[in-house]
Amino acid sequence: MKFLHLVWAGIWRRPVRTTLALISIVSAFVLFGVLQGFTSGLDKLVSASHADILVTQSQVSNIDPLPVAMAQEIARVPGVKVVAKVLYFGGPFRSPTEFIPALAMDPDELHALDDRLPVTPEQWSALKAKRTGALVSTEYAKLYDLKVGDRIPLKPQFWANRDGTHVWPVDIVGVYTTDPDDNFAGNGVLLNFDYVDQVRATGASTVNVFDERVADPRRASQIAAAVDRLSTNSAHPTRTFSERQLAQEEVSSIGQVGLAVQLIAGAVFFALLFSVGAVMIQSGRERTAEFAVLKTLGYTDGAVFALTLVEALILCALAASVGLAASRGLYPVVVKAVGFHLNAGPIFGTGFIVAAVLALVTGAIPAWRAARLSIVDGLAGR
Amino acid sequence: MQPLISLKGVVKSYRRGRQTVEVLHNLDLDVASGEFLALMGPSGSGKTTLLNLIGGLDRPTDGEVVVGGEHIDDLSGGELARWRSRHVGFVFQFYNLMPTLSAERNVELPLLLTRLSAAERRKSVAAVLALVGLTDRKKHKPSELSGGQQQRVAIARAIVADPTLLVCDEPTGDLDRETAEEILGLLQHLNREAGKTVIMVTHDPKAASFASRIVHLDKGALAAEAAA
Repeated sequence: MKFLHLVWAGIWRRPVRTTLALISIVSAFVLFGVLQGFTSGLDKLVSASHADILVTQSQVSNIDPLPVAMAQEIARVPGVKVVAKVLYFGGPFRSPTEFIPALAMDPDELHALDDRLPVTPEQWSALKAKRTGALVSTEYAKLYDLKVGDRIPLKPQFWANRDGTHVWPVDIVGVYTTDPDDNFAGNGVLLNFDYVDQVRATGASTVNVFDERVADPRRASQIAAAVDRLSTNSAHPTRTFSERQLAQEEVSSIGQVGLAVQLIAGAVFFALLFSVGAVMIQSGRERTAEFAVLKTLGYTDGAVFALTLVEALILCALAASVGLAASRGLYPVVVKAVGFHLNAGPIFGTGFIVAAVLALVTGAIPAWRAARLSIVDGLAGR
Repeated sequence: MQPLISLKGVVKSYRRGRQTVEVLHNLDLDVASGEFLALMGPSGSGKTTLLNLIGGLDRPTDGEVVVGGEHIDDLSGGELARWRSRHVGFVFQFYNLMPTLSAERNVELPLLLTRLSAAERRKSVAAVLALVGLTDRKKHKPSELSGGQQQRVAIARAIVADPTLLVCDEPTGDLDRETAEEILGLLQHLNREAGKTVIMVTHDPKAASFASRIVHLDKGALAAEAAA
């Protein structure tokens, strides 16, 4: 610690150059943080999805309608504990750029299906008590400045109501804590299925999916097959899989995101190696006489090497801290822009490892030169 | 009496491309403890090379350099660095202060290599800055100080670890006459009152007159010696 002021003074010897170097490294780490958040979000989407919850949808697509009556048949399949009907109701509200994911469901069914949802019993009761009621997650409440008592117009693209418009007024009766790990109902708006079903102009008594909770996740694939056998040769053949499998398929459908993200981040840091390396080497050259003076005063080659390398480490760690913190600050903006939940995960740990490698690679050459410097040559400016 | 510094048969040569240039030729020199020695001679005579050998900044090609009973030509790089930090203070013509550090932080540099606490370091730094008359300038950076003040800071840095030997390479070469005399007076004070052995390279006969002995070098050999 007693050498810290010496190292700090070395870093800021040329304030403009150091500031520019910091900006370039910070920018790279902002990008790194956002990209890591994206890939980490995808990973978490899969890992946090429930293995004991099955999703049954039409073989055609997950927006093709299935008759509500199928719920009773599915509930009789051995191993199925709970069945919940779900209608995708998301879309813009107020303006086309303000999007809210919304699910129309039966509060009792959804609560029984997944008691891990961060919705309190009072909030479930409030939703059941008001036909046009809605529960909003804290993230969207904060994003759009919503509170209990507000009446907001949902404008789903697919669902017209009986007055011929796509405007669905709902009343906010509760704000539940966002669960970023639950990509299904953990973040968005929950509505009463009965309200939607009775008021919609078309598609009455149909849903998009049935969710089932199974007693034994190890038998999930056999139970899924049994559920699908119910509708074989019917007008609505189904496809059933676990929530985790669904999450994996969704991630795969985006393509090799992880690889693309790593390639982009790798290219950025490869370029950064040269720009920061050039700055460090130039800084080292300008300070030849100063290194020689330190050695004259009794600083060993190893001490000069360490001091120079620590400069690079502090510079990169400082920039990484600012860049990663800034990227975390940008997450809500990115989430709003891309509609996908980012997950910070281990970005700080990974980021600091990357920063350390960057510092070691870029600082090693000037540090080695400083350590090898002959005092006589250094003092003579050679 | 055992001299503080003893050079025997010292040869120093450098490679210049394919050529080897011998700068010092079989040089013998003894310096007693407490002496103020001026090394004079024309440019290229080997004064600074000799000073570098005595200060442990360079190694002889041949011969031996003994300072305070230590054969410094036998020490490893690390040992020599530690020896310098304990026994030698350096003063240069162009001060060689760290431009980004304040006067007190510059003076503190040699003490960072010791086991002294921060409070003890501050106390020592304050004492030597008072000795060179720069207490009120301790927070100033070198660029905010005059040449004379910068050289005083350099002298404070040279003596803060209480070395036995002060090695000065043209310490007044960049100063006006009046300031040069102040600096030389300070070195003389350190020699006479604090008992520091001072070896100073200079071109200036006036500066050399502050020394107790003058040695002339010419073409890498001792040419003449005189008491000042």
